[in-house]
Amino acid sequence: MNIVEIRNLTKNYPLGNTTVHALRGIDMDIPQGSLMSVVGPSGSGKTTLLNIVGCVDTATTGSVKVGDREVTTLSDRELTRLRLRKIGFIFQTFNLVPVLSALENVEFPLLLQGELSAAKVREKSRQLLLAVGLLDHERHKPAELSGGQRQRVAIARALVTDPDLVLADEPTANLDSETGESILRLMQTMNAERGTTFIFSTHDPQVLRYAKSVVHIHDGRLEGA
Amino acid sequence: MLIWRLAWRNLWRHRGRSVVVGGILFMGALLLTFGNGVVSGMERGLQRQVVESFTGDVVVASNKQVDDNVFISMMGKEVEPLYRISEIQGAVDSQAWVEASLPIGKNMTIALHESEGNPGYLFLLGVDFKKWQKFFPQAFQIQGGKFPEPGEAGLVLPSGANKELFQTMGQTFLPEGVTDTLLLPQEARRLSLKTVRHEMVLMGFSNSMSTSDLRMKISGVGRFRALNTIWGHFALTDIESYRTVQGYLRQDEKAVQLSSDQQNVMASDNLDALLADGGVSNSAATTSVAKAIVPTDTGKGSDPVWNLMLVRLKGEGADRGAARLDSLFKTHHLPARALPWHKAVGVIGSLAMLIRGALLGFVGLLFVVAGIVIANTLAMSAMERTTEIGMMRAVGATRWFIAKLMMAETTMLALLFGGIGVLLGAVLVAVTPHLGIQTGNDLLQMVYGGEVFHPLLRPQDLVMCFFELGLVVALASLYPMQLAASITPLDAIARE
Repeated sequence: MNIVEIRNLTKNYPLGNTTVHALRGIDMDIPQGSLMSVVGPSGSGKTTLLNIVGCVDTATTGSVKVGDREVTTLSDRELTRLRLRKIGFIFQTFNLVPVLSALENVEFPLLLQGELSAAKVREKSRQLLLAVGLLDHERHKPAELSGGQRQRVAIARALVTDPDLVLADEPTANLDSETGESILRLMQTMNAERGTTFIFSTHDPQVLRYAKSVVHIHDGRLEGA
Repeated sequence: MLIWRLAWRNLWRHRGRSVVVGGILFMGALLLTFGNGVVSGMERGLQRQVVESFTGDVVVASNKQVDDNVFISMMGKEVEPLYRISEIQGAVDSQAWVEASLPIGKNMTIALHESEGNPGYLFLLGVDFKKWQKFFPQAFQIQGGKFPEPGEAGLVLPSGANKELFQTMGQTFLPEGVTDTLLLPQEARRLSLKTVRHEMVLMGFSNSMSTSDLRMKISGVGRFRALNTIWGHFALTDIESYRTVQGYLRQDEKAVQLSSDQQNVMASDNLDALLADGGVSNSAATTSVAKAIVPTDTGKGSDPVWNLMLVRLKGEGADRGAARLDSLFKTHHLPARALPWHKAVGVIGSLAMLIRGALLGFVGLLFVVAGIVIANTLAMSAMERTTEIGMMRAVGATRWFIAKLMMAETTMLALLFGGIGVLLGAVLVAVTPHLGIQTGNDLLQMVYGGEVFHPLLRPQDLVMCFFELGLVVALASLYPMQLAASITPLDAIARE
């Protein structure tokens, strides 16, 4: 079963008097449980692709299905709801809420959902922090954590809602190679243990070995899968 | 709970910005509270200085009275006679929201110079002294002499009138037996007490030509406790003398048989002879002349004629009270109309309203400026936090959540800094009267709420301060809220 289905996806950006064609007709299916890497040089369109799949950007033309929902026709409110329940994000610069502790950052999406009791939220978030090896840092603020630790917190936050899909845009770009590899190993573990679909973009060939599948993108077109 | 926790920590994290916005809110709240205190003090002062000292809440005049300004009209424009006072007063007093009423006479008089010299002018109030003192118990301070007893004729001169009469007539007045020269106008104190006069000849000043002149003894001198420069132009006299001067005679007083002497006087067209010593000898004689000369057709049965009726209300505002009385008069077909006090005192009321409006305008302007600065600072803050807000949106925070977060931050600042500002403003208002800041200027007395600067904060004023503060904060937050809520996850990603 495919968690993501993309058909003839294009994305154009106006830039002054010209138009930038970021994506030029992408067709792809991403099966559930994938650990996929989108590879390409800077400006190739990989971030744009992830943004559209992650429902933070809209397509110019084409169709994108996440789960069974066609996302190109959804309203802002519906897209937000979809992101909250179905999609986890891991950003390049470890975007955590700076005023919340590691544990509170993990709790954040669950509190937004507002479906679990405070105790359950705390319990579930602690389990995730334990899984990423940071339970003993639960009270630390992001500024008190290293880059790798912050990215682990981001992974725990992305997974705490049990999403169908986790998107990671160059998650190791700002980490040293050792820390970067530990993050990728963690994603690999989570994929294996939980069956969560991971899609991450990178232009670092060193990290490709952690992906089950690799998609190359160049000038807004897929080169192979 | 999550929002408040985030808001509080964000404020702490951005301490510098919080202090800037909080400082503006603090100053705004402080000035707003103090400004409201001044306005309230002024309102209470006006209440005390005008309503409780001179006019009452509502002034009832004849329905033929065209001008609203019945007290301080230029050149003493005549105030129409008010008839059927018994019926009017009965109807007014029967209202549960009316505390008391007091008919008075009010018109212009001329103080005649008894030798060569210019006459002086006075606003004359004809009153029943006992009732007037009961109605305005703290209004007038007798400094020399006394109020006339019931049935006694006499004139009470405020210091302002005495001073003006000296300037125009070159004559000064004190009651018989009073020798304190400090009661004389400052410029007149060097004069011998022998030149001080104890009587004054008044002549009515009206369009009807039915007025008469009357020699009156000076019973007392003193001062109005509030706004003496303004109210000091009004001399008080007993109502019978007032009616005589104005020529207000009842029907049954019109038909008078003249003696031969009186007929001789009538035949004389030599006014100077009448005004010379002995020409106007005493009030009784003059009354006879007045009755005989041109009795004004003021007679409506045996009801005495007045000009105005002052009404004090309880639990009812002046404007609404006047409107209700007007309605009452129409229902009962009474020849009267009601004026709220601020209309009846003409420019004084307008000035009071103007000062009040200016103070409120100042406070309003202050908050507009504060609101703009706060809105701008918050908007800048929202833009600076694009990455953080965009990330929250990416993980599922709705626009409404972001808007609420911004509002919570501003609310906390307002409660903390604005609350301190309001409390400090209240303390300042409470302390200020004890500083004893005084003024003798009548205009400033209106602002000060009396001779001593006395701002005032009632519980409802404090509630109003918090309400106004909340309103400004809410309005100032609208644009930053909208700006923050419009930040998308893509904006955050684009910043990376």
